[in-house]
Amino acid sequence: MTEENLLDKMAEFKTAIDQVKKYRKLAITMIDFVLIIVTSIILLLTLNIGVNILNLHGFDISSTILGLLPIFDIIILSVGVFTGIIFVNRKMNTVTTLQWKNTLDEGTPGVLKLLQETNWENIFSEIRYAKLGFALYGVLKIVTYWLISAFAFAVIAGFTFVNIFHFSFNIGSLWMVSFVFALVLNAKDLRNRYEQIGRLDSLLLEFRWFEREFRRTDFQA
Amino acid sequence: MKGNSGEPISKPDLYVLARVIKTLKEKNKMNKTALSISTGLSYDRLIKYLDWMAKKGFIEFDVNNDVVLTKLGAETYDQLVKWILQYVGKVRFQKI
Repeated sequence: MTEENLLDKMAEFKTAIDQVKKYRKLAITMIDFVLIIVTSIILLLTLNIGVNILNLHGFDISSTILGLLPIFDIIILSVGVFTGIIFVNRKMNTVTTLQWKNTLDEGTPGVLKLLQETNWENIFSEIRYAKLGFALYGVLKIVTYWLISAFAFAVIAGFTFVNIFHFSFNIGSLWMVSFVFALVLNAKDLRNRYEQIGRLDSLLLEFRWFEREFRRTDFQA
Repeated sequence: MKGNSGEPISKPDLYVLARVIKTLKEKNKMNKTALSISTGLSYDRLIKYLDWMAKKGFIEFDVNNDVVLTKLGAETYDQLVKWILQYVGKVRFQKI
């Protein structure tokens, strides 16, 4: 291994840490994401309850508005999800990266400086947070897709089976179908997440080994 | 060990030592002012490090009082680089 290889390797090391920082940010931003989704659900429920209460109290609400209500629900939920995803991405992009580049340009002394300045405990904790955030975000994404597809299927089923064919449908099976649909839509994402969490785990192991070796070697001249 | 001013170095910064040795390896020998500029260290701080390094046998001063890297200094630096190359080389950083 040459000094050039060492610099490449160190750049990989620092890039991995930058990425971990981004994932950690994802874990923190998750609370905001949940709040945005919950707000859109509250808005959706308020709209539905409001329209139904007005309808019950004899206000003249046209059947068109009542019929379009589920579509409004889907729009509100979709806007909520879209806003949430954009918010999370923006927050992740605020993480400063490549701050180590100038130090690394100094060569081996720069590598030494970066290694000495590495707060290992902090990195281990960040990797754990990153894993949590990464997994939670995946779960939340599936749940959101599930909700949206359940609403969408309810609207489609309502129009086709009930209005046209005059069939009733089981609400349980509707939830089940929409859940499977959400899983199918997220299959690739799920696989990626699973692999990514595995990679974070092995990164944690590699760092732990390196940190132990680095500490064990007493560099005092 | 005493520096030219202030307290002597009790625990030298490995990064500073590496910078000084690397510069000396590249230039063979240097006067203190030029070395201070090359390494980006303040003159006072450099003197403290040079005192410490001279005591350890990593450098010596020639008749013109220029700083010269000794064989031991060069070997110590090479060993350090070798260690880093060996251990950092073993770590597999998966793209995440």
